[in-house]
Amino acid sequence: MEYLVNIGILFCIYAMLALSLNMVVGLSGLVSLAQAAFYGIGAYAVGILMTAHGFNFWSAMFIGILLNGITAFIVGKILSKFKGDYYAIVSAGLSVIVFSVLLNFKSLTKGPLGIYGIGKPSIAGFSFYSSVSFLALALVFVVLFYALFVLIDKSSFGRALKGLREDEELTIFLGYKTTKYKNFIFTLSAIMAGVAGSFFASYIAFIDPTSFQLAEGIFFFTMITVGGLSSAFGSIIGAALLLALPESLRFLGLPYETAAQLQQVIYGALLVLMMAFRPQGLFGKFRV
Amino acid sequence: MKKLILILCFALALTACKDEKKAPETQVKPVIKIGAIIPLSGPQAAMGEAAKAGMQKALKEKTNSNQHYNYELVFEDNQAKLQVMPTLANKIILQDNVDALATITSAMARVIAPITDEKEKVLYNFSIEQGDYERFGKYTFTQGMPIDAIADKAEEFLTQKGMNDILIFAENIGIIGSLTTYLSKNLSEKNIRHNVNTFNPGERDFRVAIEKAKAEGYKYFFTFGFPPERTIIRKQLVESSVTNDYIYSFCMDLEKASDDNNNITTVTYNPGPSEFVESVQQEYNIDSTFGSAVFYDFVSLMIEAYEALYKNGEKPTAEEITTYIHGKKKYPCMSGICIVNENGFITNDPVFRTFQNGKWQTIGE
Repeated sequence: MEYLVNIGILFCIYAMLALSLNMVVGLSGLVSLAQAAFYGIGAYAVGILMTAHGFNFWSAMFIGILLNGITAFIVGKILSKFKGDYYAIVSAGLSVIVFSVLLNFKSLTKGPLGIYGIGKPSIAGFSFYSSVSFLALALVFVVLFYALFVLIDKSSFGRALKGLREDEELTIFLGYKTTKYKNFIFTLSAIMAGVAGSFFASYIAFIDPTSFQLAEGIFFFTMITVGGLSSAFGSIIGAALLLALPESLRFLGLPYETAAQLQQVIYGALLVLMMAFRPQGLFGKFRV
Repeated sequence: MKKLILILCFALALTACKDEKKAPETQVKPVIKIGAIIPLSGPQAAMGEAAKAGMQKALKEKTNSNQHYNYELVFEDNQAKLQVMPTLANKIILQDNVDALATITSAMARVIAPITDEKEKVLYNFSIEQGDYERFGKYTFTQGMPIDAIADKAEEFLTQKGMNDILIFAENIGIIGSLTTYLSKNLSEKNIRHNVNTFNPGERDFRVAIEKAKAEGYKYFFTFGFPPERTIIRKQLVESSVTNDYIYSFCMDLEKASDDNNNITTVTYNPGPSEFVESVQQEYNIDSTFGSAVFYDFVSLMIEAYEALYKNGEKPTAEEITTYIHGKKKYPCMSGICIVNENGFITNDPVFRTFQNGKWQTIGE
């Protein structure tokens, strides 16, 4: 049971990340690889403030959100000048910068040694220390993020985002200030990723820079591509699949001399097959 | 979509095809399962495979039919990813029913220590640690080497040889940064001219740093890090006309003996006697490391403790195992002499190794 609860918590964190990333990539067509950076900033804000400065989880998360919002707003200004592949490359650059800062700014982040002893959230004296209560709290945020995604998807704002995704020139011609739209959705997405990072730091209780590398950002991108771009439900399914697939392969009963390697091969092969037969993802409405 | 559903069904069917091993009809002895959550795939797989070989070798050598328990090993692959550790710890404890488990690096162990404490399992961990090591779980043990011991050994070597003008290449990974800081401070106190060039994992070109150091009069080069970066630095040093006599290193792995390494001296963990190193290489076709010796020690220690604490088929508790290990205080182990401190830090002394006459030799073995 606890094994499943832990998978559930990880699923919630990934679902938050997938929903946040799908807003930028799916709704707006902006191929962002910066999500690992904002995930990391959120996690480190909570880690540093809770362990070194005695903040509680919520105030630390709030400051993390602010920090992420400001960073994303500034970076978004720069990013909104780029399109397509260039947008992806520049956003990947942000991930690399943040990873390097986390690794090298040792006086603040403790560098490669990481930060440990990060506490759990509590509300009015009730601590979410147990795995089940933590899962319940994380689920609440997944539902909130899901609702926010659907709300934006169905709003006029969402339609404008989809317009810029399909034809940016035409959207500008119709009088929309696409730069502002791009920047707003990028900032919102970063804030959501920061919340996911806060939950991750609190759940795992130890963070180091390796959890926030560019490769993680690519993994999040794979989640939404498999689940389906521009789809809230697809984000959830993508996160669940990419988590459940490797976990279920552990129960194949493969000989332990080769189990780990075979699991990776099977996992990779299934992803290849999935993309070959369903390139738009399971519930995708848009294809990059 | 239909094809996709078929693929997913196939994947699920595969997972259902679990190899259900039938239990023997007459289970004479209780089984002690010793688990390890280590990187068996991904970039750090070599470290995990070396550890696995050490465990397998210990199981083979330390078990016999006269013992009270049967012993089994259970492995889980974490790909060196922190985020999977709680899930895997729960799986290996609750699904696979391991009695004790081990992992690599204190980061991984810190993540799962609350789980092993709650489930009352001994958690063994292989890591380099600070001298002021603090226990992070009730039943946790860490086997490794205090960084100050490694730095002191390196310093001993540098001063014995009367070296000066040293450039230290230090990889920005794990505890190597602290190790370098400690060494650098001591060298400064002894007025030994030196400088530290820190590099991040993944860096490949050190030529500019080497040429700059040479221009500044640095003659000796000390490399603190892991392959491939450490190997690349050495190659680039040689390309830059620095001979191996001027290259020294710290490493925890055992590099393959090759002419490239001739005369290089390393300050290293004790990987165990040559026979152990060679037999791991022969039996498991893997480069034995300090990790192989540590994980050999872990399984040996667990078997010894379970046998010593046997009480009519009832398994000893984590508390009893923990007390037993603490009671050992100082004992010979595969990685030299193991000393257990009050916080559960089991330390081994570093050694010097040098490559000569076709193979690595531990100086003073």
